[in-house]
Amino acid sequence: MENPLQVMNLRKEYNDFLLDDISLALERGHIMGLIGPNGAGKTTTIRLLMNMIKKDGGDVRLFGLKYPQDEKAIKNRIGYVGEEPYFYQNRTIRWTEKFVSSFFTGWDSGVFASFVKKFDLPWKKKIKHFSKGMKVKLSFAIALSHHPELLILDEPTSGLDPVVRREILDLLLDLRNKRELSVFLSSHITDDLYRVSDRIAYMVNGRILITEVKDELMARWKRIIFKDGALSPEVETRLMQVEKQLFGSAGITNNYPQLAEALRDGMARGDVKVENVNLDDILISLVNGE
Amino acid sequence: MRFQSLNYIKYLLPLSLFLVIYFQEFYLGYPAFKVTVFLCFWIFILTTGALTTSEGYEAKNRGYSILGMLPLTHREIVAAKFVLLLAAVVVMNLVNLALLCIGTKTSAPVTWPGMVMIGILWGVFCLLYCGCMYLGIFKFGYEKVTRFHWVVFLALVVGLVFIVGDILGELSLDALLTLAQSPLGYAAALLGLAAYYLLYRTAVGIKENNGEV
Repeated sequence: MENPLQVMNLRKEYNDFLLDDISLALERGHIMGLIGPNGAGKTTTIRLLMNMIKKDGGDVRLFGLKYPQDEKAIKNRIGYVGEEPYFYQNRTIRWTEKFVSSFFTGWDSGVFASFVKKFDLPWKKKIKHFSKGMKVKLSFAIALSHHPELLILDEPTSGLDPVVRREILDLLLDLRNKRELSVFLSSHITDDLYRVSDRIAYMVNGRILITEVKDELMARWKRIIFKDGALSPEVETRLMQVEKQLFGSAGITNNYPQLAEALRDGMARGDVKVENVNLDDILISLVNGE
Repeated sequence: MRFQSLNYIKYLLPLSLFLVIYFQEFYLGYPAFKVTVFLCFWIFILTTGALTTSEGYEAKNRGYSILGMLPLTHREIVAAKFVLLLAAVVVMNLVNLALLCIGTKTSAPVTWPGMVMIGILWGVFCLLYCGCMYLGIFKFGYEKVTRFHWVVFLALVVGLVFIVGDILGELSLDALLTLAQSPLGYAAALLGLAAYYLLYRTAVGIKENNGEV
């Protein structure tokens, strides 16, 4: 079976920005998180995946299908939630459903109604009076009501309070588990990505620097805290972002399994400690390494 | 209608009727040719007005982003705009000319064919102008194009209504008949429609390349 999402050497060039050599693959029933600082190219990548902008090179396939010839077939199988939820502001949910449903072949009014109820959204209130959280929830209700096989989400939780964020993330996990929904999710809120993603892709300055299974990534990247002189110079030079601390120094490694042997004696003496890093630490290391 | 912004076109017909009847009364004593020119100008106001209003609505609501997430091709989006514009211009011209003919029936029935020809040519001009506006909107965005449009619009108000209208108003009935009987008018209209189709094809290309501006 074809991957829901397969990107090869994708390229988009602007006057002041280059998105280059982007390759990604997302398997069915998996959630991939795309992490990057502002301006890294996450939204551009997602707009390319949605054919909202034209690529300058490379190949994008969704379920083995290609733009532009298969655009309708592709979009009938994917749900999209953008960074800003856009709607016709003077309209109600009822009108919006009528409008949107006329385009999707597999629209399920029952599913839509169940999401509207689940999210406690008002059918007859004009959308311009909705809060940001309500608009995001409505976006999800629309994105999910034609039984998509793939969700493409561009910073869907930014600007939301923690309660709504958690609600959205739990919904994604639930759908992944129950329906094998695949999700491609971009965000700079790394806590959210850590919570739901199976695979992480790091994007910095328009390039993908890492794509890896989350657990393997977290096993490779560790923070090493050591007393001065506890590490050999050779080991110390292999650490990134080394900084002095009150009782020694700390640095980050992106290949802990290779260093583990060299650190064993120090750890036994209590001169070296190994801690987990979070996705932010890795991002900062990658940005500084650029 | 599936394209929300195009709903505005439904308001054009009653507005058009009102304006036509109003000016019909106001200009009843003037030469038919001048009345024709003046009434045609209202088609321009209504079509460009509908276009700027609907595109303003799309811009305000980021309508093209909404359409971008739906199973729609760029070609379908552009085609819907161009076809509905064509339909609106045809309907408005028919209504306009029908009312004009009724109004001038007793004074100069011999001028009808000439007036019809003016209506057709003017309608084609409106289509081409609006087609160019769509091209500009897809390429440069709504804001820039409407700014440019208002300059052209004011120039046309001054040029067409106050200057050209006065000149044409003095033309003889023979001139009208000549225009109606000449194949040049029909050829120009056909060429205009072909150009409108080319504008549509170009707009599709721009939309596919630029996406949402």
